[in-house]
Amino acid sequence: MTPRPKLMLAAALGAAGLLTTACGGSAVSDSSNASGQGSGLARGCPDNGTTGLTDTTIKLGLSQPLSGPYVSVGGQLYGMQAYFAYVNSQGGIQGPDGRKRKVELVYKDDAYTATKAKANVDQLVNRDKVFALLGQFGTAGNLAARPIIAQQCVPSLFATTGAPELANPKYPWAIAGSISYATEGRILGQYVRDKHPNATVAVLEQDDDLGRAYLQGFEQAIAGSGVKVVATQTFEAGEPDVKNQITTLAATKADLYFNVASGLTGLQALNHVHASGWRPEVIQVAQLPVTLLRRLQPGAGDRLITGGTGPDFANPEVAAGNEEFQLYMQWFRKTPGADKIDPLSASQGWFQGRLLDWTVRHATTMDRVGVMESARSIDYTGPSFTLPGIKIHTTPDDPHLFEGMQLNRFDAAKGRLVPLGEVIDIDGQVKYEPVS
Amino acid sequence: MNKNVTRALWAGLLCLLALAPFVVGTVEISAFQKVVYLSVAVMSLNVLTGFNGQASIGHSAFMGIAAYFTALAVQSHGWSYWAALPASILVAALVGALAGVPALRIRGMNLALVTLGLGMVFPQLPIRFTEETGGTQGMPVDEPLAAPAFLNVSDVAWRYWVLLALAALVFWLVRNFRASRVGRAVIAIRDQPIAAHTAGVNVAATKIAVFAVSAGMAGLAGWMFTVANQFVSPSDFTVLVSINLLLGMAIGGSGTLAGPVIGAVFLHYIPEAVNGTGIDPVLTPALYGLILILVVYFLPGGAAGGLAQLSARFAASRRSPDEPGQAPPSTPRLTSSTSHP
Amino acid sequence: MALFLQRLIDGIGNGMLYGAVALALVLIYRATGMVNFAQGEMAMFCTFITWKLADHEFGLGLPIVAGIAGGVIFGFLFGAALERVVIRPFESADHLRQMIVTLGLFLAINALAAWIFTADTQRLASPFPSGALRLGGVSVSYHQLGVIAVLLVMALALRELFGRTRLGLAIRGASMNPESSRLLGVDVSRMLMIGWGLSAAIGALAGALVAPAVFVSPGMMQTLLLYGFAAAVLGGFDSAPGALVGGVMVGVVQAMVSGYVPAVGTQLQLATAFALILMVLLVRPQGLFGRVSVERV
Repeated sequence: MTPRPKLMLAAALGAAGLLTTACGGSAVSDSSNASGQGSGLARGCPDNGTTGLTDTTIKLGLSQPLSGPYVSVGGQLYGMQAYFAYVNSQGGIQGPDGRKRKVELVYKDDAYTATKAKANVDQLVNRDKVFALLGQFGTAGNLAARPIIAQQCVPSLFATTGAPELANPKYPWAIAGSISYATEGRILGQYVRDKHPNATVAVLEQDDDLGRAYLQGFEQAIAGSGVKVVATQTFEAGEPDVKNQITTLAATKADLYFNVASGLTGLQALNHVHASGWRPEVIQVAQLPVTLLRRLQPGAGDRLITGGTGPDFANPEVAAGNEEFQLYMQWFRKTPGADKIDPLSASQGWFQGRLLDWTVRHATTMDRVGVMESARSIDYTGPSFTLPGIKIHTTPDDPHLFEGMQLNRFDAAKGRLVPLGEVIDIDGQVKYEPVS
Repeated sequence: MNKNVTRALWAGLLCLLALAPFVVGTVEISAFQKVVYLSVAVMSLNVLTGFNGQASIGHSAFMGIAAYFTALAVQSHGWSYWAALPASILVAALVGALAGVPALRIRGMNLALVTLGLGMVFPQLPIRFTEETGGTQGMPVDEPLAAPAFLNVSDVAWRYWVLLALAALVFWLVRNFRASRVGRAVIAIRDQPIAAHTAGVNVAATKIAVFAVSAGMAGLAGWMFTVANQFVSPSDFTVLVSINLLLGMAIGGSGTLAGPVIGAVFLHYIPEAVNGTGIDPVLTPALYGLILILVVYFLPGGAAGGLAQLSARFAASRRSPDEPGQAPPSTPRLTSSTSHP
Repeated sequence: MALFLQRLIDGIGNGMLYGAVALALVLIYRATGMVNFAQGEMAMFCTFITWKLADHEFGLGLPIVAGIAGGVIFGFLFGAALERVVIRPFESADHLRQMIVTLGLFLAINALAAWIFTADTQRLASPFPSGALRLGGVSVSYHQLGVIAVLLVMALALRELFGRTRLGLAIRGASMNPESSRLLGVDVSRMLMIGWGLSAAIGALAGALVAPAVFVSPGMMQTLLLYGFAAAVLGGFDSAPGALVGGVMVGVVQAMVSGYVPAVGTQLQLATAFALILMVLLVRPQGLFGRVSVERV
């Protein structure tokens, strides 16, 4: 080396030495591992319970896809913004301390990449200093960010995923906002067991944790009955077509067809089933909303049963008769960028906002522990998009928000869901178990 | 540019980066970690494409193989990260060598097709083995790469230093390699394959070796990925990641040392910048595509090549202010469009 | 037996979809000597135009055949414009740079489609009657039959174009040997522009034919693309009928493997396509129908 780099090195070292003595809070002496005092939820938490709060504002964060191939599932953000515009126009969310706080929502794009979601949550928690996360999107993203949430004791409320893993008691700071896939599978299985006690079932299953969770719940419910799964075919998410699988399943001529496929693949499968001449009763998982079912080829949607937690808002009469939905639409239309978003898929965001409002209002103390405890003892009966009879209920030992569903028959001619029998609610019966 | 000045700049940059954890917080250091492993990943592609002239749209697969290998070894089989380091690099290099064998007969666009296939197939593998890997929901690694207790520094800073040191080592090796006899043979194969063959270079063996080395470097980036994120999922190793690496290489400048660093900085910070501008984030990839095309058009040598030209012109004009500055002959575009005043 | 026949028909039906994508890839390769990674995205964009023209809920509600015609015409103009504005500056660049440019187009067109149209899944009607022809225990939908007929006609027409017509020969000449073509008075740039336009138009038609099966969305062509490459490689990248035969072979192999080889089953179908590409390139790089190209030094 020539003298010059040495000189520079010395200068840089000197400067850094000065900086080190001057600055606290650098990465080298990261103190986030330090344990604080407390019991229960707060055990091992750093002392940061009111981060993200001022006397007049509450800061919330969210990472979800806003670009890339999965951008269409990210509509919830607009529903959330609509709710917060509404509640801010009323002065904000009232906390247990009697103060009203306006909501500031910080959102970041993760293009549905898990580690990007983790980096975003890291920024939201450690740089933007949000009070809590709301509607954190996607199973992988939630699991990737979980250590940060656990370490900093940040409530991650009503995450948008149905993965049963979100109920893992080892991680009490996150709570899912969608019905668990396993629970839904169980309710569908219960219906089959009761209505068709000796049926044969052919299954198309997405070959991953999502498909497995559904099937695990379904098999639990039909265990010990005369219902028999006679064939299972799997597919990889993202495959262009599932025709080959359907030909194999159609050859079984089973009474029922359980379609554990979402979105586009689900539609294809149903079209192929119809084209094959096989006419089973179709049990469809709720991952295929009615707006998509309407895009089935004529005849392919006949004899189809699917569950849901809410009324069929795709039916204009139902939507017009629901006050909460009208209020939502009124604010949704005013949200910038919402004109390109499907209001039905975005409505989840509105309800997540509504539920957060309730949770903060009913907290015992206005800090993170208070709000998280409140989220784990919800008994919500206010305005919602949920059908009466489905409890919105959590306890410290049972973080499952919904455990009930209304089964519907799809009326293909009118493109509507027609309720079938009573709501099935198994509140309190679902226990956490890992998907295997 | 003066060799000593270049050296001093690299040394200074390294010092500044090494001292960063004393100054900035954990969020920034996490971002730096990402830039470091992206630099190594872009460099791995650079060795293959920039030096040897073989193209690959499958480097996300090599990264993914090593990242998953590390995650499985540490999480499910109780290995230490340090034991997984050489093993994961070796596994990636081995797969790379296998991929390099068809590369002998398959050239140019066909090779790109094969590697595209590799990149598209890889994310399906962890999903196929969901029991072991967690499938689409991904796989957390609970064990961090912890700092030795006697140092009394945080894990984040320690991980960053480890990554930075390894990356510096890789860059230093690549620099020496490029100047070596073998390195010159590798570059000769890019420019004059037949002449190289006539001059006694074993083209076939060299090509396979370069493919393996490049895949091994991508594997190192994969190991770094798992160390930095403690999480792997199929969504992190899609073919789009490969395309992004190509983007980073093209923007930074292929065949240079500084290029991969510039490219990695671009890949990490541009999406953040786009989010700040109020442009609809849906358009981020479109912006990427546009920048990619513009850079290939206006700066065929990438940002690093552009910088080198600028400084060469600057040096030349200082030497003889009356004469037109002389740019390197390989890049006539800049000289013609920005002629000397 | 009926099940076997059904699998065969499934395979042919799927294979035709791969063949449709392969056809567009082959065309641009013959016309310009480039492999265009943005081919699938261009087809997707044109399919959105067709959808916009034909859809009753979100579009103009024109008859589907008019929509497809509009999409194909748009495709020709779109392809020609892309060549003129984006590709021409790289006409004499090396393969690597051309590849990076088409990858840039890939990113840009995909994101633009999501932004301009929608990222949701949309349905496109088939131009053929619904329902299926049933023979014994086997069913073939009219859509499948129609697709096969259209693609066969198209492949033969392309062969005629490149084999017999003055325009076709000029296009081929311009891509294979630009210097000599110029000397013979052929406007090389213009030929390349026409080549891009034609292949984008064929892509638009292919998109409209696959859309009733795979629906319309920004990602609709992305997995098909690898199968399309497999079909094109198998057929030998410069033969239009070869692309269709290649596609059908990929489809039939897939259907048979998934039906009768339980160890592979329906998993890793993409890997099957990949293995096929690799095998062909190693054993017979010119494909089944391609000609060996002699490289001069």
